[in-house]
Parts: sequence; structure tokens; C-alpha cells
Amino acid sequence: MLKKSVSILSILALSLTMLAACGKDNTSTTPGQTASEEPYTVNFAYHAPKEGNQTEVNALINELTMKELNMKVNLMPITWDTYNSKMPMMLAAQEPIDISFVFAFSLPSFIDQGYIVDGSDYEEYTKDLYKVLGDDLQGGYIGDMLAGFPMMNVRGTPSGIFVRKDIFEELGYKASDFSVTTDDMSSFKQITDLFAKVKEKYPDMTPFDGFRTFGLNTITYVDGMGDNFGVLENYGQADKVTNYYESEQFKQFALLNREWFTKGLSSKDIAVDKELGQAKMKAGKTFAFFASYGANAITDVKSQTGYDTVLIPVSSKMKSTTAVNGALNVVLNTSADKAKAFQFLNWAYNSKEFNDLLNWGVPGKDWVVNADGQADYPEGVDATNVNYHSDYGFIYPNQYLMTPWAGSPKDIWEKYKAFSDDAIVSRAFGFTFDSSSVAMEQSQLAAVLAKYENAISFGAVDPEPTLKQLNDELHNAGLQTVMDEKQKQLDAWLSKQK
Amino acid sequence: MNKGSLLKRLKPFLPLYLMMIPCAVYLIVNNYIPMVGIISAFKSFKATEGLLGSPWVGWKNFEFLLRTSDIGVIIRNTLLYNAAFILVNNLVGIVLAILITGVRNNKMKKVYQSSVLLPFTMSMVVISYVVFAFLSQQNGLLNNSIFQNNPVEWYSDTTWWPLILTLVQCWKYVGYGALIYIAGISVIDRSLYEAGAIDGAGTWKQMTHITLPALVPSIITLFLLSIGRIFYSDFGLFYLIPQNSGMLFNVTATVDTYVYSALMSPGGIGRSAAAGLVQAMVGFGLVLLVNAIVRKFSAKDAIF
Amino acid sequence: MTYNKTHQTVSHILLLLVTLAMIIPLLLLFISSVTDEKALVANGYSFFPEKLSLNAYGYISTNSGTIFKAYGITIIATAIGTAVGVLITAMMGFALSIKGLPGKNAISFFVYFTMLFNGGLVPSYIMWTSLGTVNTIWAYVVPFLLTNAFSIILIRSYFASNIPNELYDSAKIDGAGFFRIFMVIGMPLGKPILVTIGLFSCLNYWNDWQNGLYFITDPDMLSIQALLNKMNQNLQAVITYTSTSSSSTATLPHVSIRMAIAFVAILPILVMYPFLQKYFASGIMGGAVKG
Repeated sequence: MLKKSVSILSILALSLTMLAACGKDNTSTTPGQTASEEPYTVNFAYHAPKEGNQTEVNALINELTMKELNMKVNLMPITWDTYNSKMPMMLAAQEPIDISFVFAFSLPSFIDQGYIVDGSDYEEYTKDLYKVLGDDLQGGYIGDMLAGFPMMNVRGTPSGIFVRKDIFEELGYKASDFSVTTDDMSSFKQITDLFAKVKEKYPDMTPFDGFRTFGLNTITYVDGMGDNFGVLENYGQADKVTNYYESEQFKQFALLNREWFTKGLSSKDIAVDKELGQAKMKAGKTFAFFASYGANAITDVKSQTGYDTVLIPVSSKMKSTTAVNGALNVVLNTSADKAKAFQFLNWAYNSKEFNDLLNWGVPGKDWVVNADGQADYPEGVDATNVNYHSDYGFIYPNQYLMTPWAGSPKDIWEKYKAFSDDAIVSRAFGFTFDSSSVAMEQSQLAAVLAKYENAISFGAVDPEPTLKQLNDELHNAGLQTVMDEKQKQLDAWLSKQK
Repeated sequence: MNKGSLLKRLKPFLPLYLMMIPCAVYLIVNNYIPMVGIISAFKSFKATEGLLGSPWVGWKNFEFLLRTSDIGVIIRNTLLYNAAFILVNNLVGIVLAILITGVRNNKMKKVYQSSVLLPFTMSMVVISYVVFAFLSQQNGLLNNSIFQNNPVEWYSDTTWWPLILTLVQCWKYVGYGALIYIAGISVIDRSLYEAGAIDGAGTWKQMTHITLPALVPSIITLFLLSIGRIFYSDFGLFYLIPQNSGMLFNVTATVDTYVYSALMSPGGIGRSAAAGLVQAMVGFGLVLLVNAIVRKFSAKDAIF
Repeated sequence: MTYNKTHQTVSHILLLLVTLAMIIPLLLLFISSVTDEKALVANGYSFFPEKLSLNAYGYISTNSGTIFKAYGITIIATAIGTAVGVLITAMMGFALSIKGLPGKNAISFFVYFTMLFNGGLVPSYIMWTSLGTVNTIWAYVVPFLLTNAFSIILIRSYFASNIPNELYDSAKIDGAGFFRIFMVIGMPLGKPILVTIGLFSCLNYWNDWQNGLYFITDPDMLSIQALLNKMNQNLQAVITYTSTSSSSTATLPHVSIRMAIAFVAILPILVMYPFLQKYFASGIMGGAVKG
């Protein structure tokens, strides 16, 4: 009986294999060959808050691209949930997509699975794009491969603590009273004192809440070069790759959060509840939260929480690869005409109209230019009934070309650019760790970290014994191997830069 | 045996084979054809080569299962929880079924029958919100009432979780088993009970001598179903309900949560396929074994 | 079974407790959805909230048109899927229950094997997209027709132990008789198990949001669970990402919205439950005609 079934199965499997084999074969046309009459349609996957409302925007973009490029575009909106669940399947199924945005954390597996086309082979089509990105293009390289093009937006976001202005001032504080710096870890005591005072005067308030805190947002203090297993400490200025979880800084952060947790200065759910501080503050019972911020922070936080806030900065600005390549546009191997895809990207980073259409929708219907030259809703339209409104400028090709939204500072993009200018540049800026040779170790390390990271960082457990456990397990899982490999690649990269 | 006699033997059953066709075709298309994906367990998937063209990597994808020092904890949790779930669900399911079918008031009977199925309508995501409403350390019902003076750090204290997970699991799924057992009981010939009562058998005796034996086939089938899935775990239950809290890892990590964490990293396709294959093989082996045992004692209850 | 008065009382008490345990979490879900967010944050979750608010439902109702459409899609998919699914399952299960059917064990094995081994999501995804289910009702119906090959086994053993052998023997003599037996005796006698399986199939279809996620891009074709799942995700995204003051959703109470969304998803089931139950109960009791 079993034998029979097995033979039936093998016949089936064989027929299937054949089936799966066809259609997989992507014979790509020679670059630029099809350039003549027939307009090429670029399938463009972009991050969007919702699906299905893009038809009109798509038509307008088509008009534009037909005029300027003799191409058409098929907009493929990808929402946050489809990015995580459906995208991997579309890619593995090799559905035709020319260009897609990719978050940096998925880049290694995209490359490993062969989804991404090396941009350096198509340099001739992306000259203008290189000009726009300048130095930041370095963030798109993994080894010698130009994996993608970073989005053009604000770089180097430092972190700080946002506190409710009304309470802060009622208690008689001024922002200038605070000077908190990682150079002197005892300076963080100022924040503890502030929280304690709030707790005393407003017993029903939670001084600190939200799913972000110092140790977790390491990106602002150290350069992790892709992951956090082996970092350059001190804003990327350290000589050697070290283990951040054994550093004095991480320990001090953990102890600080532990103190807040045990004294009831932070929420009892802080290590579990995934809500961000903005949402917590909005509900009215939270005094402060931790976040990284850009040039327009206070206005942004006001619109997210409904409260005026005061910002207490707790880190310096650092420009690292991670800060640049958080999200990238990549050309995928399923593109039928890769040269056209690169041409399109080249244009996308340089067209104001395209970026505005993608972000704000149909002019005159979804938005209008107001008297200040900024974008605003037309008469009778608001956030609840607007058809298309992405407001994801930071994850579209070039935010700096977009019409700013009403209420922003006049020179918002100048401010954004200037904001990054005085950032400390990490020694490893431009370097991205190629983790393919240690992928196995990396996933073990990630599993270990997942056990401890939140609990330690938010102070839900006593760091004294737990930190040691964490580091022991990290070493058992092959931390040294990853750090050595990282150091090796970094040294090789540094020597090439000179 | 020659062709003619085989045909002759099969002929009376022809209508039965015809009745099987829709289902068989569906199983082939929906289940068997996609099984080609199993080979990715032995491949390093490269999109440009296609699944078949991708390089073979032997057992490398399976290695990661053994690489973690927590493999013992993971296997222990998966097996023990499944064993507990099988036991509790079937026990509670049978008790509920017997209680419900015994109720004389028809209206109440319907109420009870409906209520055991209510949790079935809630997804694990939703249940995780409700559980959080009970256990939240800041706002939760439990810490605000029963545990007010002695609050429990639910999401970092492992003590209660084996109980919580078993409860939640039973709460959500017990209706399934209960309903199957109710269906089983409802066709038992009434006259058997009457005869039993005349012979002086009390309620207990009727239950052990009439009801339970009648349920044996259902129990065996349900058991064989669960045993085949002994190496699987309900991802939502173990990931969402404990809010993915790392400190609970020792009592919440199972094969599926471990595989999930490895999915997004390079080689994830091959590794999850490898894990799935191991899960299936373990279940398969156990089912063959149990089925063989069942066949020995009661051939008609064996699955194949 | 025969019970005396005491037994009845004890059963009622136990079952009432069970019923409470089943209903209370649902009640908490509903109450949280109408609790004022600020009261919730200040006082915690409670069955007796200090202040009620319908803001969450106000937010959801801005999508009411889409929601009704989505209910429609779900109902159609559930109805077709359950009817077809139960029929093909029953035919297979019935056929396999027949004693002496040549190849019976091999076919049972063929069925059972699918419960253990699968090729992962990607091949299934390729299969159903290439068969053209994308953005059609079939994207919901087809992948779930036989969510569990186990139902076949269940039906098989049910028939095997409840249909007298003599019936089969007489049917074997007259070849076409099997089909008649299935229709005239199998279906009515199998009602309890078929109804049970139908009920599970219904709930399965109702609760499914994954097929909507994978195969539907047209917002007019979203099922209720897929739609609500999207609303939930969007809400999260808006809170996480949005920076400019152009999004009103940034100021919404989202704990209660989350709860409200969950409640809206099961509302029709709660409303229809007594009716469904009446039908199902009669089905299950109907099986007991012999007694």
C-alpha cells in the first residue's frame, strides 16, 4: 500500500517540478534594446498607507512619463502588512516587478535570494541620480554591489526625550536647565529627578512610557553597520569593533531604565506593550517618551500627540550608513527591461511632479497649493474623506523635491539639509557589512537577543545577572565570529578609502 | 489476476470512485502539486535559477535547528504543551458533550451548545488583546483586583504561563472536540440506555459502559489527528498571547516561534522548509506507529 | 442517558459556569471598545468603565459603505465554500467508509498524507494566482474548501460505525445503488456530523483574512476580516509613521478602535447565532431519530 502511494507521489512530484520549472526562466532582453516605439511599462512597488485608490494618480503619472520618458508606470501600492507577508511570496513566485522599495533589514535576504540587480552595471542610465545622492550613494553598496538607491530625505537623526510642556513649565523647569550627554553618564540623573518630581506632583501620571528607550535605539550612539552584533562605539569613532552589550554605556542605560521601572517612573507594561510614546502621550496620562527626531520635531510631535512638548536631547547627531539606507529603491531581477527600470529611477529622483503626485495625490482634487506655496487640502476635503494621501515623503525617492505640507516652516527642506550638516560622520560611513558568510550565526544571535533585549533595555529585569547571561549566550551563538568578520571587512574597506 | 476479473471486481464500486473524484482532484491541485516546495529544504533558493535550478545544499538547512543551544527547551515545550492540550481538550470536550447531551431543557441545551463555540469566532490576535486586558501590569484586570496587593509581573514571570496557555488554548478550541463528541453521542441508540436502566445500571455505569465505548472511534480519530501534529504548534498562541515577551521564552518557545524568527534572515525559505519537513516527518512516523497499534487491537478504527 | 433531578441541577450549574467563562472575555472586548480612551488609560480595563465613548465606532462608521460590501463578500464566500466543501468531503468520506472497497487504504493514506506534508506557502500562492483567482470571490472560496482533510476521516468513521453493513451488501449487488444510498440514507443519517463539519467550515471562512491579504488587491473585493485587518494595520502605520499634521487619524483613540474592529468582525455571527444554532441543533438532534 505504502509502496503504491509512494510511486504515485513521485509521478506527481515529477509532473509538478516540470510545471514549476517553466515560467521561472527570465531571459532578460539586452539593455535598452526595446527603446523604440512601444512604450515600456514599469511595475513600481512603493510603500503606501492603503491600496486601491491609486488609479487616478497612476493615470496622471502615466501622462507625465509618456511625455518625458516614453514609458508607462504601473503603481503597485505595498502596505506595511503586505510588505511583511505578501511581498516575500510575490518575490519568490517571481511576479514581474521592476522596481521596489526595500527596508535595509530585508536587504541581505533579498540579495541572498538573488532578487536584486547590481546597479553598477547600469551606471550609464543613472547619471542624474548619482548627482542627486552624491556621497549618500555609498549607503547603497554592499561590498562592490550597488544594491539600491537610498531615499533622499533627512539623515542622521539623534534621539531625545520629549516631555509635556505644560507640566514641565508648571514645575518650574526650563529646557536650558538640562544638559544630558553620553560623555557623562551621571548627567542622566537629571532626567530621573525630573520624572520623580512629576510622579510626586501628578501621582496619576506615568512619567515615562512608549516602546523606545536608550539601549534599544542604539543607532543614535553607536554605528552598528547593519546589525548590532559588533559595533563602533562613540558615534562610530572607536578604533575597533566591540560588543555593545558588554559596554559600560549599555549597562548604564539598563540600570537607568531599571531604576525608573522599579520606582514606578516608567509604565509597568513598557517592555511588553508595543505602542509608541506618541500614542501613549496622546491618551493624556504619559509625561514623556523617548524618540529620535528630525528638524521639524516639535511640530511633528504636536500633530501626533496633540500636546506641546519640550525636547531634551540625549545624544549627538551621527551620520552612518544605517541612517542613510534605512529604505532604498532597488531594481528587481524580474524586470523585463532593466535598463528602462534604471532610466525610470533616474527620472524619479529628479521629477518634482512625480514625487508630489506619489505623496499628495491628484492636484486640485486631493490637494492644492495654498497662498504660502505649500500643499493643503482643497475646500471640503479633509483627512477623513480625501481619496489619495500618502504622507510618506521620507520613503519616496526624493522628499526634498516635494511641496511641503501647510504649516511647515517656509524653508523646511533647507532646515532638514542643514540639520544633517553638523552630524558626526561615522568612520564606517559608506560601509555596509556583507553578512552572507555568517548568516547562520546572525540568526542565532538575533534569537538570543530577542529573548533579553526588551526586558533589559526597559528595566523589566535586573541587569546585574541578566546582562551576563545575555553576553554568555551571545558568545555561545558565535558573536566573536561575526565580530571578526565585520572587523575584517571594515579594515579592508577602510584601507580602500585612503 | 487478469484485467477482466479486476474490472469485474471494481465495477460495482464505480459510483464510489466517481464520488471521490472532486475531492481527489482538489487534493492533488491544492496539496500534492505544491508539495514540490518541499525540495527547497535541501536547496539554497536563488530566484534567478528557479527552485529546481537552485544549488543543492544537502542537510545544511537542517543544521540551524540543531545550532541553537535552546533546542532542548524548544522541543520540550512543543511536545509537553501538545500532550497537555490533547489530554485537556479531549477530557473537557467529552465531559462537556456528556453534560450537554444530558440536559433535558432544550432551550438551555442550545444556549450551552452555542456558548462553547463562541471563542471559535475570535482570532488569536483579538484574543491576545483580551488576554492583555486581563494581564496588563499597568492597567490589567487581575493586577487591579485579585492581585492588587501583590501584583504579578505577568510578562516576565514564567510561573503562570503553562497554565495560561493551556487555559487559553482549551478555551478557544474545546468547542470543536465537544461538538464532535456531541454528534457522536446523539446517534447512540436510546434503547441501549433504557435496557441498561432496566438492568439497574446507574448513570455512571451507563456512561462507562454505553457512552464512552460509543465514543471510542471519535476519540481515536481525534487522537490520531493530534498525534500527527505533535511537533507543530499554534504560532498565534505562543507568539501573540505572551506578547512575544523574551523573558517568557523558556515556557513559550516552540518550533514554530523559533522558525518564525529565522524566516526573515537570508536562507529563510530553505530553513523554514527544512523545519516543516522535520515536523511532518515526526508526525508521520508517530501516526504510522499509532495506526499500526490501533490496527492490531481494533482494525476498523485504524485510519489506513 | 437517563438522569435524575440532582444530576440535572449539577449539570446546569457546571454548564452555566462554562457559559460564563466563554462569554466574559467577549464582554470585556465589547466594553473596552466603548470605554473612553482616557478613562481606560487612567483606570485600566474594567467591566464598569467610568466613562463611555462611541468614538471608536464613529471612526469605523466612516467606512460603513465598504464594511457592508465586505460583509456581503464574506457571506457569499462562506455560503458557497461551505456548501461545496461539505458536499465533496461527504462524498469522499462516504465512499471511504464502504467495506471492501478496493484501494480503500491507499486512498485513505492519500487523504491523510495531505494533513502532514505541505510545500509551504509559496507554491500554493503560485498555484492559486496562476489559476486566476486573484481579485475574484474564488480567492476566498477555493483555498479553504478542505481546510482539514481530517473531516473526511471523521465522516468516514462516522458512516462506518453508524450505517449497517447489510445496506452495503444490497447496494453492491446493484452497482448504482451506492449513490442512492448516499443520498437517501447517508445524507440524512450523517446529518449530525455533516452539520458539525459545516459549522466549522462556516467559521473558518468567516474568520479568514489571509486569502484576502494574499490574493486581493481590489478594495471592492475585500472580505470583512481582510478589510478589518487592513484597517488595523493602517491605523498602526499612521501612528508609527505620519509626521505632518495632515492626518486626522493621528489623534484617534486606538486601543478602543482595535477592540471595536474586533467586535465588528464577529457582530454578524453573534446576531445570526441563534438562527444558525436553531438549524444546527435540529441537524444534530435529527441524527438521533433512531432513538
